Amino acid sequence: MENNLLLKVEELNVEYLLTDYKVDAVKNVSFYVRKGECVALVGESGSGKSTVAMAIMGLLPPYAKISAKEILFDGKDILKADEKFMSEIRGRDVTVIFQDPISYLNPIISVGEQISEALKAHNPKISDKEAQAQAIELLKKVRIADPERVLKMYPFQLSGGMAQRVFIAMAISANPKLLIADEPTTALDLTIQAQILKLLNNLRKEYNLSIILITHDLSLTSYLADRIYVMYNGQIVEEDAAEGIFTNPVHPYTKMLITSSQAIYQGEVKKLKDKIASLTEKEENSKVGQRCNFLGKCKNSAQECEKEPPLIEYDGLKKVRCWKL
Amino acid sequence: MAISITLLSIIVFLGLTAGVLTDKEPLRTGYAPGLTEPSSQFPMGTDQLGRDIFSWTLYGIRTALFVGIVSTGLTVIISILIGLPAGYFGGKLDQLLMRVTDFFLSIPRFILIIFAVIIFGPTLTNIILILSIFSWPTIARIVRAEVLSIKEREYVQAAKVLGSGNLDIMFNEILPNVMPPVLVAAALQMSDAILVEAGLSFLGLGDPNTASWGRILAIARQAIYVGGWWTLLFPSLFITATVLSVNLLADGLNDLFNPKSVR
Amino acid sequence: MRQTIFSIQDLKKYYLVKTGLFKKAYIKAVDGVNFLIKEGETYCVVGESGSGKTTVTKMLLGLEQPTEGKIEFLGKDLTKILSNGGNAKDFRKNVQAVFQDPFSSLNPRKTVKDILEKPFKVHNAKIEMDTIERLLEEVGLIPPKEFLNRYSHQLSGGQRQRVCIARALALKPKVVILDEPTAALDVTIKAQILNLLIDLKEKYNLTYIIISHELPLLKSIADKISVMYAGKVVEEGPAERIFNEPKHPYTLGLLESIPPPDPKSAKTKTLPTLEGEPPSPVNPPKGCRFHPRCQYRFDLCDKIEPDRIEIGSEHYVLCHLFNRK
Ligand SMILES: Nc1ncnc2c1ncn2[C@@H]1O[C@H](COP(=O)(O)OP(=O)(O)OP(=O)(O)O)[C@@H](O)[C@H]1O
Ligand SMILES: Nc1ncnc2c1ncn2[C@@H]1O[C@H](COP(=O)(O)OP(=O)(O)OP(=O)(O)O)[C@@H](O)[C@H]1O
Ligand code: SF4
Ligand SMILES: [Mg+2]
Ligand SMILES: [Mg+2]
Repeated sequence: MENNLLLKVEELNVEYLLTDYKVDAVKNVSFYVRKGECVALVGESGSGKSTVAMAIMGLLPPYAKISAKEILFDGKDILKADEKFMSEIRGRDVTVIFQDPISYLNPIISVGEQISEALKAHNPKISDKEAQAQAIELLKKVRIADPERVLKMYPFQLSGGMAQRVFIAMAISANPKLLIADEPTTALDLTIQAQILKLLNNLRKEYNLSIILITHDLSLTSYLADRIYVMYNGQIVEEDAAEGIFTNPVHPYTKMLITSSQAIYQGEVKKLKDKIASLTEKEENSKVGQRCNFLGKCKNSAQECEKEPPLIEYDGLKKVRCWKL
Repeated sequence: MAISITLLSIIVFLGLTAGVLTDKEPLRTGYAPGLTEPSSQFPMGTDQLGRDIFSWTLYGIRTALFVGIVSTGLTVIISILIGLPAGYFGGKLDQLLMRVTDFFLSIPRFILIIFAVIIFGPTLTNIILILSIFSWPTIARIVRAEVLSIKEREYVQAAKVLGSGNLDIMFNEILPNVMPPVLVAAALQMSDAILVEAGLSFLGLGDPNTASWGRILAIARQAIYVGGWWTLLFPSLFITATVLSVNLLADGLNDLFNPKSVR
Repeated sequence: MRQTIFSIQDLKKYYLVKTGLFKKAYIKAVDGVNFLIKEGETYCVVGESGSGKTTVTKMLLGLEQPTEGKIEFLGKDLTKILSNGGNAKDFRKNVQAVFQDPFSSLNPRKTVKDILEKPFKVHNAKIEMDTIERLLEEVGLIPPKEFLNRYSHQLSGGQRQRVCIARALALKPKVVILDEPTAALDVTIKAQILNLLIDLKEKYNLTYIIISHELPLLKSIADKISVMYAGKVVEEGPAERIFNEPKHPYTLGLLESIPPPDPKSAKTKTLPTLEGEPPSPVNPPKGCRFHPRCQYRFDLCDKIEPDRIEIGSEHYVLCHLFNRK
């Protein structure tokens, strides 16, 4: 095994067991992250990206059924680890920028206290003064104006983008080995987004931080990601170096994603409808049985697509889940 | 959680089936000539006046739970009716209601309850009402604090934008989210109510017509000198078990509603 | 002549916050803003995170009281409308909103079905299951039956956002205020939602007020754009003018930060960022609020606050560069 491997997820499956049926949120997902590498999970809404993150953190709700061959973090199988070990690495070695930061901020505790708490969690010795000074530094790093004042404010008094940045500050405060960033910049304007991306990139260079970037925004990945995994309906349908995904998309879903992103960038949403239509079939009853997940929407489907395609190596570099290569 | 529920179910079961488990009436004197040791006829013995402790203790469950549940229910209702509008509307109303709350919190509750019982007379209804009237402030504060944080949530604003009225918002949108911590506090309140009722009866201020654990203990105070340990042991065991299991239930509820924190 | 839906004059909102044990300060969240929003228009607001966009919409919805200034809805004073029960009900029926945070705008104790039935209940309209299922289908939650009985925390981020949009459209309002409506959606669903909005607008002549950080998207849908910075509108104009002839230096900076969805473009790896401190909302910079970060500034800028200057038909800018005196 490569020794600069930080995280390796093998054959992860997650099902949510609801009262009347179950949701297959993640199906057979395998991926790895090297030290200092940024790996992106992109894919449509509801394709299981956040679920993968929660599974790694051990934060899935009790009614979720998780199984995997292994989830190795820094050489240790965290699937078999006990809750004590998990709560130790959580917030210290692995931190997350959650997709819904507001729900994870305590509404009745001031921003300053929450950051200090996070700082003290992995460095109990620091004094209140030092914690405050560090908190101010952190808020400056994420480009928040008047950090001293913001420390005294409560979460509901922050704007959407401020709350998100406070959370980013807490997540990077611990100097983690792995940062899972789930849609970290959705509430930020473009100039601040650019600065946050720069910040993450610097942390990567300075501290050899590894990042799992979860996003639906391909332009983010083009700046930060080394490798990209494209997810569709709980499965990885294509994986490749970032360049490869952009310049040579192979899976029909990836193609659609790239075309749509470009169309939106060029301001052609109205035409996009027809464009997407030209790339996809009208969806019939999808999700039936053991066939290709994308079949309902696929243009160039064939007979064999009635069976589920495996993730096949392609061109020596990529892996693609599609029969028609 | 599992322990407390099992224990509590056993206690409730014993209380409900008291009429079947014993044929003796709880407060009738003269079953035995005097202080009698536990035996097959009197599983927990009798007191000096020949009252059956077993029957008394079992019927005591009913009294304790009745007082606990009804007074807690009332307490919760009063707390919500006060805490909800105080937190939701804020401003003058909030100040007024919180002054009243502070007043109630600042006076020694147990002494006040004793006075009230003396003034209004020691009937079970009075005891329950008095308990509720003097207990709501703590829970009302919890309700208010929760409402304060929840009313800033966007789903409350979303309801306003949809055109929901204040009552609709308070009771349908906010209240369900306030309930978890209130239920925890209510469980604690219940064990407290049971203890206070026992205390009142112990001081001779309980309803003379109901079987209460406190009153057996008052008797035990004398009986213990002549070797009547059973008059002390059994009712104390039941009080402890009930209060403990209700407290454990509160803890369990607390864990249930606050799943492990993230950091 | 098209009807004026909202007319806003010199709107201000100051929040009083504690900054120390005894110290207090005013946060100038919105500091003198004018809008004129016409029927059938898609009016977009962009701007720096924390510049007061959400605060403006909260005042439009009557959720916050303006500190100063006037809001008129269809020529009538908004506070008057809201103090009259009947008028308020009408206003609520006709003006709907999608809030910025899809996570906290859904009640955690309600199922999707409860949430979508609520608007009908509030306005005593008949609830038909068909209508609710169709709403879900329109926002791409297919099959609807799978979602009806779920709680909001059982949905992915993008799915929650779509429930919020469905709720806002349920009563067929005339005006819809959308705060970052597509931030959590992937491109294909984004396109679907935007096309839905466009269709509805064409069919029912809806008016939209859209806040978004995604400038490229606005190219396709915006009629007018306002650019906010530190509580002020620094530029306002028809969308094509803002994109093709941006005037204000902040607008220029913003447009430059749009990352293209393509890793090969030389621009991506060195994202241009707007350097300098973000403005404090308590003590905004004197003179022009943008001056500390502006590369075009000259002697006037840090002394005198610029006026709103009309530099083209319906195109206004708040910058000394364009003062011809
Ligand atoms: N707690 C839950 N209970 C039941 N189903 C869930 C739960 N959380 C997520 N799901 C479902 O699992 C699937 C994957 O959800 P997940 O949140 O991982 O998606 P995602 O890729 O992060 O999407 P998005 O980009 O919209 O956030 C979705 O269909 C979602 O409805
Ligand atoms: N209830 C409040 N109390 C105090 N200050 C507030 C309150 N709400 C907002 N603010 C402050 O007002 C300013 C503007 O906030 P607003 O939410 O309008 O920003 P925004 O433009 O929507 O930003 P974003 O794009 O990040 O959501 C911020 O500095 C924020 O901290
Ligand atoms: S396997 Fe077939 S159906 Fe599936 S994506 Fe490829 S071509 Fe389309
Ligand atoms: Mg997600
Ligand atoms: Mg906002």
